[in-house]
Amino acid sequence: MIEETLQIKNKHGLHARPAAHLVKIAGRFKSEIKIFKDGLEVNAKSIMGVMMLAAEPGSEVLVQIDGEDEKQAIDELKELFEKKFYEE
Amino acid sequence: MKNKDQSKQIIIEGQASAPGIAVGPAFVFKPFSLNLTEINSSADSVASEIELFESARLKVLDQLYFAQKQSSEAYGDEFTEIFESQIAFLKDKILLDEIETVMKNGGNSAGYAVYTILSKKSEHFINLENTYFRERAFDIIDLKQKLLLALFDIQIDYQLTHPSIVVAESLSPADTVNFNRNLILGFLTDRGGETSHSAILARGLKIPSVVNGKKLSEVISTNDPLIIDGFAGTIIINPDEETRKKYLNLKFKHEQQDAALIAANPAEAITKDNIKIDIYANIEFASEVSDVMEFKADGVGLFRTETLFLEGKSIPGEEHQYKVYKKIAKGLKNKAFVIRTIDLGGDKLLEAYKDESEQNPFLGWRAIRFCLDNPNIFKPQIKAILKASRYGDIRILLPMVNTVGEILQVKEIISEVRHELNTAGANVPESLKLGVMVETPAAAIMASTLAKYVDFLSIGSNDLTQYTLAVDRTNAKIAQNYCSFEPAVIRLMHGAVNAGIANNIPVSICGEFAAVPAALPILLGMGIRNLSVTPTLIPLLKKIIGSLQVNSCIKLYDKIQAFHHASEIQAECEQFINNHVPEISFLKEDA
Repeated sequence: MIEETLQIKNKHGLHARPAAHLVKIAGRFKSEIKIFKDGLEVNAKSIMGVMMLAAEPGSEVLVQIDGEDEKQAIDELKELFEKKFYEE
Repeated sequence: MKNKDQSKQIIIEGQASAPGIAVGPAFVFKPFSLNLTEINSSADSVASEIELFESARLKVLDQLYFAQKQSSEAYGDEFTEIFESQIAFLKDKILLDEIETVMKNGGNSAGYAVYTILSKKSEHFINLENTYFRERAFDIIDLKQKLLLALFDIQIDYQLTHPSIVVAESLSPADTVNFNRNLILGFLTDRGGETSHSAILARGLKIPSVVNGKKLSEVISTNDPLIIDGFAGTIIINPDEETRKKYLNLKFKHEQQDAALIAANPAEAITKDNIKIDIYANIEFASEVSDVMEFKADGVGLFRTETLFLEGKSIPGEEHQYKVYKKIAKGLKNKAFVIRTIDLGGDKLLEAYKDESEQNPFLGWRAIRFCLDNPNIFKPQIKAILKASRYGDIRILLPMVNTVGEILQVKEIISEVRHELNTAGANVPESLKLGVMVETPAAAIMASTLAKYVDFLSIGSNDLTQYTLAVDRTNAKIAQNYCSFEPAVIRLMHGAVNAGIANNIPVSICGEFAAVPAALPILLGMGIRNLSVTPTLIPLLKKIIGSLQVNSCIKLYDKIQAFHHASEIQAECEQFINNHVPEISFLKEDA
């Protein structure tokens, strides 16, 4: 199991479109991917869940990945956060 | 009407919000509500409930794809995000599992499962602090309603079976696009104003629209005969045969004339004595650029950026604004593009002031006053405009300016932003024209001084009339005192025009007065050579201008300067128009 804290760096935070990107990428992996923020735990493969985090720009979330492809998953998610969810 | 004895004709004065006339039966749109007992009453076997849910889900997906397509065709990407996220929710396997679990555990109905899960989700969002995320609650509530409607096979709400005038308390963008556009004759809403969503949508869709300001949606029943006049704001319930014929005739004449005007629409507006008048368009959406080009305007004389700030869930950032300005600039192919900076009150823009009502909002913390106090909102707008200015002939117009000091402060901000951009290597053009609205008596009286500091003036006739006469036109008791033909207003406009001529800068007029046929001769007579109006009115204006001589307009203007009453001036101008452009004389019947 891998855990990592990632920061939301895009302009608007996890709005509908960036959240959709995140869900799409998370959905490619077999591992279970959870995101924690402010006491809320959601499944990263659920757009409803990800939007419920209401993650604003600059905020941090804890990503927890458990499964056979967890290493690859964390790498891709880190890149997505780093590239600001391809927002611009 | 609820009481059939009241089948007498009733005439009500409302507020016009989108031009056109509609004659036909009412369709009263009521928000849907089912109580929880009803929703849960039909629990069947688990398998059949799951099947029921699946077919409802597919049906709603279809509706959403359709609405998304309709919206995107009418407005581009402006409203599609709502539908996009609703579609994504309906494809969210985790969410669907949650709903199914409620059906499986405890043998609950599909309706109950949808209701409980989505209510729980919307409740989560409604309690959030961030405006964007909080407002997602409405998308979820709307989605829940759609699913329940599909589950209970209730179709009546959006289903127009014949052409109708949609009557509602208010309409959301999602509501609006769910109606079959081909069957909507008009919109009559209780609430909303000229800048409200429903009005903007109606104008975009070219659907006549009137706001009644009362609670007519509770009084009118579906299929009640109705007339709405989106030019004058008149509403007629149960019209008698004579009235019906009169309006059908008027509607026919308008349509015929519109078609003829569009067919004849010349590339340029040139008077009989060969003077070119520049006609610009007032717009509020990027999607209106196609109208600007189609009606052959000389450019955009007024881009109201307020809509940009009101339609979103949060204040649009520099990047979003930049994209919109750039898109319009490119679409206009180097035609002039005047962007007016935010003309709103602080209560509309900042969450913290949302509940603070000012005693006199029109004399309050708004427009340039608000912007200068909030560089965090104003600077990104200036930055976005400067960046976009690489793609066209962009000019900045400042609303509600009273003093030279305000202009100097803005210039300071512009040069700061330019410096920042150039330091970052953005290479922003040096020559960006700056203009001010002349819409307060102070600005009009000081126009010759203000003119020394700017590149152009734009007369906002609506506010100038309101502030000069100290009349709130939405106050029914004094609305009749609001008249731009008042000598006081005309004299102030003339002063602004002279200030422009003396300082060799252009003066345009962008208020409603610029689109009043009878006003055109005196505007030309006082020296106005630039007008900015709603795109659809451009062919009419070109027609009128083509029938006038500037010389005779000057004579008319000299004559009316001696008049003491607005009514005399107006009558003289209407007579003048009737004599010179008799073809459009029927227009004043409904004015």
